[in-house]
Amino acid sequence: MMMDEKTGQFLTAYVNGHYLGIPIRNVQDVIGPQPVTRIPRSHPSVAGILNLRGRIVCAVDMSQRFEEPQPARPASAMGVIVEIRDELFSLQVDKVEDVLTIDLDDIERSPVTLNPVWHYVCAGVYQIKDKIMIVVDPEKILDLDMAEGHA
Amino acid sequence: MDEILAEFLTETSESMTEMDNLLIALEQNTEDGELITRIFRILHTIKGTCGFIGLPRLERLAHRSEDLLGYYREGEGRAGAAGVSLILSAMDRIKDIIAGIEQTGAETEGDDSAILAMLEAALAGDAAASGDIVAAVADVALSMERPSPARADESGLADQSLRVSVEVLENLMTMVSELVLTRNQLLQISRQSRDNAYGGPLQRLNLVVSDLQEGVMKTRMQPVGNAWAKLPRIVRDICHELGKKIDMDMHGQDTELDRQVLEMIKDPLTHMVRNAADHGIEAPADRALAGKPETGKITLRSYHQGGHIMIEISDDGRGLQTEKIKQKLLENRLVSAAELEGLSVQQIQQYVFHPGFSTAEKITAVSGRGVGMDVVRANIQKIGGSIEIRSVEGKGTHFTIKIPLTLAIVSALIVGVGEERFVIPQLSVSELVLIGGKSGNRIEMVNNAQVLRLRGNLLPLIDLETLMGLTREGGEGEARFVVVTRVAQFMFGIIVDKVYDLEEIVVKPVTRLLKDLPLFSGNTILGDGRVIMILDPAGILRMANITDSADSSRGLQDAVSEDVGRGDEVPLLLFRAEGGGLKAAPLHMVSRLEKIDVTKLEYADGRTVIQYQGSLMPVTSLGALPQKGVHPLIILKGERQDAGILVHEIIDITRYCGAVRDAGHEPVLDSVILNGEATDIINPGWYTQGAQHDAGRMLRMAAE
Repeated sequence: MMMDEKTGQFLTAYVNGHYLGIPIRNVQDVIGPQPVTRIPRSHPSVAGILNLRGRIVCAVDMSQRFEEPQPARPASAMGVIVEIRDELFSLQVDKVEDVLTIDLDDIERSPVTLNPVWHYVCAGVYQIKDKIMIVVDPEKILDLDMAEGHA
Repeated sequence: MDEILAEFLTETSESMTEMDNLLIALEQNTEDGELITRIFRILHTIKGTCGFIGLPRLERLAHRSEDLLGYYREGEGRAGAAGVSLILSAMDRIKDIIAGIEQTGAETEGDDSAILAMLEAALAGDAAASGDIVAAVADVALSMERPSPARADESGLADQSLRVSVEVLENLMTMVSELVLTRNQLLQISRQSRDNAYGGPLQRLNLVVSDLQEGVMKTRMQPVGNAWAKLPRIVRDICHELGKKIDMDMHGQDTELDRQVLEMIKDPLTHMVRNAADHGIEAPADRALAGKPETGKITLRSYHQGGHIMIEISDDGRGLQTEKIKQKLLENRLVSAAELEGLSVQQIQQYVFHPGFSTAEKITAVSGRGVGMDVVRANIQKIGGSIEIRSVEGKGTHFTIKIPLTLAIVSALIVGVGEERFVIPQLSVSELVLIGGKSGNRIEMVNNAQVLRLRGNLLPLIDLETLMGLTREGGEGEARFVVVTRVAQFMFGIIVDKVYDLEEIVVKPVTRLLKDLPLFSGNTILGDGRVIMILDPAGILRMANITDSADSSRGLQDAVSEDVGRGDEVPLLLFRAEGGGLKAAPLHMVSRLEKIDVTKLEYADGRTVIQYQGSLMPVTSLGALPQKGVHPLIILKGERQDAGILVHEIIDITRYCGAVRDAGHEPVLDSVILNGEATDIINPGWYTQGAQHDAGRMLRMAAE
């Protein structure tokens, strides 16, 4: 679908009750729960690696990424496959909701009071009737060591 | 045909095709400066190469045409239809000459004066002549119909090879790798299921995939000579600068190996040859003093050996100077004076691979650039290879590099640690030892460091569970495994809980999120679709060194010395002879172990013999020959003939540390204590050289 530069599409997903918007241009696929091979001694945010139709994809635990570890994954857990710099990653979220087309001018700067981790990862916020969508920057999500309390 | 010439032909026929298209476009639009420039460039390249490899006729034509195009390009003259036709005819002539070269391997004779004159005339900008040119061009074109003998079988050589971008090949390789994995998966499923309807087609698929894999691998193969091509020049330059005389000898340039591997060894090789020329070979005067020919020699040799490529680099220079290395070791505080006392020459030599080590007295322009042998070794290890050094002071140095044929598909061992599974490349595994349970082997502790007694040596152990922070399910008493691993000279054991299977895997690079984790060298997808991490023994060692106390890293260091120092250790085949005596044979002299039925023994020429592999082999027994039953037979390698020894039972392979006396012509080399029992080490030569036979005959003669 052709779009002018004024609007953008976002895949919306929930992580720990947060309402996230992931730019659709990065999103390749959405997958259901998959067996993930854990990797000892890796970064806490790295959930492991999984087999996506013959490709090895690294899964990032989004709740860990926001330093809000969950005791157990919800049954609805899904992976949002994003392509960043020619490599595929799976962002493990609690639930994928919808695709929103919004006016890019309506994205506001994230509030200054946001904690450093969120502040680093957020590209801005967008107001919807009953909730606020947090627009994330996938590239910064994968920058695991940044904003871990010292952004 | 000359390789350079062949290359030139391939290249030129490609650019000529492009040239034709450009010229036709130019004819449509004679004013297009861009087109003229592109044609000019192609001609310029052709001209340059012709001059370089000595093709005067071609060079002259290309030169003149280039001049004319340059003239048009500068905008001094207008090409016009006449100009373009003229250049086209010149190009046709060039093609004819190239066709001639392809057929005969050299430039054919011919007269180009007419066309050269016209090119010059056009260049002179003789407007009046332009009309003539058109007419003349027609003439020339006519006269050129004749000399085109090669047209029938269109450029044979140029079509035989094809340029394919590396990227295409890499993609192809990746896809074949995937195919191999899928095949493995299918084979596994088929093994498990009882429905064998798929069996036949699957077998065929299996074969085809194997062939395909081999074929694709072949496209990536390049002769090792490609990595050597620049070496003679480097050596020449060094000779020139340092006033040395060095001959370079190269054997086995045609040995092929994977492109990727070749790239990786290019620099180490260059470095080592440079080292040999710079530090190894002495100046002519010094060589004369040492009684060696003034001209030194560097030999490069390459060959296949059991799935590996061996590359040997040797020089007949001054060799490693042990005293200098010792000095350096003390200076750099790598070892203490007391430790140095205990080191053998071989152990001291190993220190050239130590990071930051260089004995060169003066840094010359050609070497001493801060990369040492440690980098060479690291690079070779990175591709799963190994490097060994042998050096005799005053005589020379010999390096042997062993590298895998390809990096793409490797055989790996699947192991279980806690609930997790990992694979270890088989290349770095030297053996597996079962510990705990009923095995009798157990882990012992030396000041918190876990060790295993392995044939008299203490093997330092690394527990993967602890290292990875995993928890184990099984109880303390449960059997586990030690994977005896070798990283260059380091021998150590990795403790794992389970050992599953061997599988061919395709190594895939890890995601950048895991790049900093030294434990793993890559990841892969197994036959059952599961993704799995590939352990990197070198990384495990590094990680253990960092996290463990200084004591245990010390322990590793010692184990290394121990390993290197086992120079005079003799592997022995332990057996019990007929009649009960414990005997041993040097393992390197044993070619096979067989089981034979005693009734098959025959007698010929007063000897007991057996028909073995189409010939008669003498058989002896160290006691009375048994009359019936199946008994083990040790087959000893002989220079002229093999010999068999019938024994009661084969016990084990063991190692004897210490020198074995060489008794020469006695049947027993030495008597030693093995496992607390007196053991005779037999002299295989005595049995194979028929000494025993002669002795028996003499005895008989004496009796008569």
